[in-house]
Amino acid sequence: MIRTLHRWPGLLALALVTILSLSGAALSVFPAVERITAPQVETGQTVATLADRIQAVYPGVEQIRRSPSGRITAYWFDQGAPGAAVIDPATGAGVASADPNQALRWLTNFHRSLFLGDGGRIAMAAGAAAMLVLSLSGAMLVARRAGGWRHWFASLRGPFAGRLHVEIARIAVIGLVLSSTTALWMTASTFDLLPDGGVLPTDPTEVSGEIGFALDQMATLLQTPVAELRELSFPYPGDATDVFTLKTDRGTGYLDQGTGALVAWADLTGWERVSETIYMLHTGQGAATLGLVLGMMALGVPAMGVTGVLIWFAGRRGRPRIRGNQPAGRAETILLVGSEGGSTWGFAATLHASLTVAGQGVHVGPMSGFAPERYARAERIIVLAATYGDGAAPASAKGFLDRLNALDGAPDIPMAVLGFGDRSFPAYCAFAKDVAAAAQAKDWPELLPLDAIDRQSPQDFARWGRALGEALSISLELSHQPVSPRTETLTLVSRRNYGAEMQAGAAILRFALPRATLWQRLTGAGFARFQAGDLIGVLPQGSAVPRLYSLASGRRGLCCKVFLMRSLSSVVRQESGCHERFQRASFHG
Amino acid sequence: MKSLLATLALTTALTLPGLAMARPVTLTTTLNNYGGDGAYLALYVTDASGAYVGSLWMAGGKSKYYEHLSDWYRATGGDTTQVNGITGASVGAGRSLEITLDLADALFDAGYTLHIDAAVEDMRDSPNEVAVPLTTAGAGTPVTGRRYIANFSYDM
Repeated sequence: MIRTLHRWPGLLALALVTILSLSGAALSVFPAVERITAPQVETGQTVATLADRIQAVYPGVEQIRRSPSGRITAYWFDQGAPGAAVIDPATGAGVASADPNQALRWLTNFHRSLFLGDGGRIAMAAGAAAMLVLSLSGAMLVARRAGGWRHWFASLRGPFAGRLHVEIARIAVIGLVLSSTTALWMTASTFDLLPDGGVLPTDPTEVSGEIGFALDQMATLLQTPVAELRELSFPYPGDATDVFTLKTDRGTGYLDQGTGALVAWADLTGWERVSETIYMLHTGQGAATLGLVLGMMALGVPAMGVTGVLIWFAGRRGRPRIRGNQPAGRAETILLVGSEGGSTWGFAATLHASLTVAGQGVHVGPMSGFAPERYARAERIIVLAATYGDGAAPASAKGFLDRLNALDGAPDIPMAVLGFGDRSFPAYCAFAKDVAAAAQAKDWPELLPLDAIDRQSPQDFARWGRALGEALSISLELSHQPVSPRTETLTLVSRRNYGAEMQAGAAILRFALPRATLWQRLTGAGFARFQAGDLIGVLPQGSAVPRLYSLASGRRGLCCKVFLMRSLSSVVRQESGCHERFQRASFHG
Repeated sequence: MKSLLATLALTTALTLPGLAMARPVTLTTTLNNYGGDGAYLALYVTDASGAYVGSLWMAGGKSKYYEHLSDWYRATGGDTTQVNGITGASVGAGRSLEITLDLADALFDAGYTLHIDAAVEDMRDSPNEVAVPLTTAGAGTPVTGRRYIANFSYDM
């Protein structure tokens, strides 16, 4: 369910969120640049001093504005011609052009509406909503994968694309949630859906009717530090009824130009304050560092888009489609799968198909999704559990044992556990054994005793299926054909035998690596990457199940050590050090 | 359609003595290339004492920006019902806005003044960009704005 909520918005909105995040990341630089380049105000400088200095240089000044970055801009008329400049508050003189930055304007309009007006704004808001859904569903998936919220930063295993996707996501998700929520708020504000409009003070009924009170004597301006200024608008020249309009980060007021008195004032409303804070959090204007951090996090979106699509493709290839999967609340049989590499899902699909043919309603799901309270109509739970490494839970079973142990009592639904593993590993089906032991400790009724499938043996599976059929009083024939993995042919370069005199024969086989073309290297399509300690699976002729050998060396060639045992000449033995570093889990999974 | 709506609005907004006769008036506003986003323009009328009488047109659809049309905003308190049905898109730099309205004869040669407030995002607010007395003699005479408007004229 959550995965669906993550996958489809992700694939559908991929282009939109990529555009949003790239343009957003580019925009995040501007407030920081403005913050650095804007002439800064000396501490304690008041609006009175500033306005007086500016008026001395530009007698026709009409408006002074301070942006959240601290940049001060003055607008004036000089003999009928409009002028504007960025002001150095120390002198009151202009130091730079106040013309809007064209690149910034272009990017802002692109980011906001794709130059498509209101339709574009709505499309971009939909993109932000998709990003929010993706962030939240993704966070839940990360928590599930890691085995709980407490393990948010736990180290990751598995294919590179999936790891990279989660590595980026668990850092960037905070920024993406923040940026997308604030974006939705701002769109709502733009479309007048929020009551955050400005409130003006009521017009002063009486003004002194005089003009020319000195700016640097006005009490309100003397009390207002420049850091609080938003805007100071001057009265029309010669119009004695007009007033100074002062906007600060607390509200708006009118000042009498004849006496300097504050004749009206209106505070910002609560909604306005919230909207302004949200604007700051989204744009980084007034919080340039935060803006840069959010921009960096947004850059993770394209990378997550690419890796996400790769994961989706790999998932489509690697896991069999389960047709007619019943919802957990309606199924009589719940199949829980703990798999690392995906092969156990194949078994689950076979079992699901056979049980469905026998008239059962079956739900297949990962063990990590274990939720007994949802199994309203379940009559049995069947757990198919592989093992990862030295008895650890495989990827799709993260958190299962914690959740089971946290239950007050075991569900009153009989359970059967079937382990998948390889007898030549020391921790054969260790995770399945742990699950069975935990269930027993909780007095969970047993449907079938713990059983194990050695090296994906179809015979073992069929035998277990008959036992299950007897327990259910139905005839159940499970014929599972493991899906053959994609293989490549390697050339044997050399072989060295030793240890024969110790009755523990071993051979070191050295293979040449297939030469990768430039294109394969760029796309990562060639021979899989590996390091010493990884396992290589070799398919014997006539068998669908690969045998795993540990790799002993790195880059230039493949080298593996084979123990020749007396009874079975080429069965693999694990070397102790290799076991923990075993990465490609086709064997156990 | 626009002019029909405008007429409806005007007959309600500009309730004036002797509003029996009206004639179509075309208002043409051409902006200069000020190098910014589309300008918001408020066209409204004040009487001889400078009191707000009614709005003729609002170019710009997002009411949260109306406060930057500061004279119009102070005169109306930001009341969007003043421009209901007579609101259009903002006007891009270098573009023209042409609207035709039925204006009461009584508005002309009676001390009424037509004002335009202009504002552009991240640029200066320009209240009272244009203030032109409504007279029959002044019709067709272009007026230059202070910052954004290259010329404005009304033709009968």
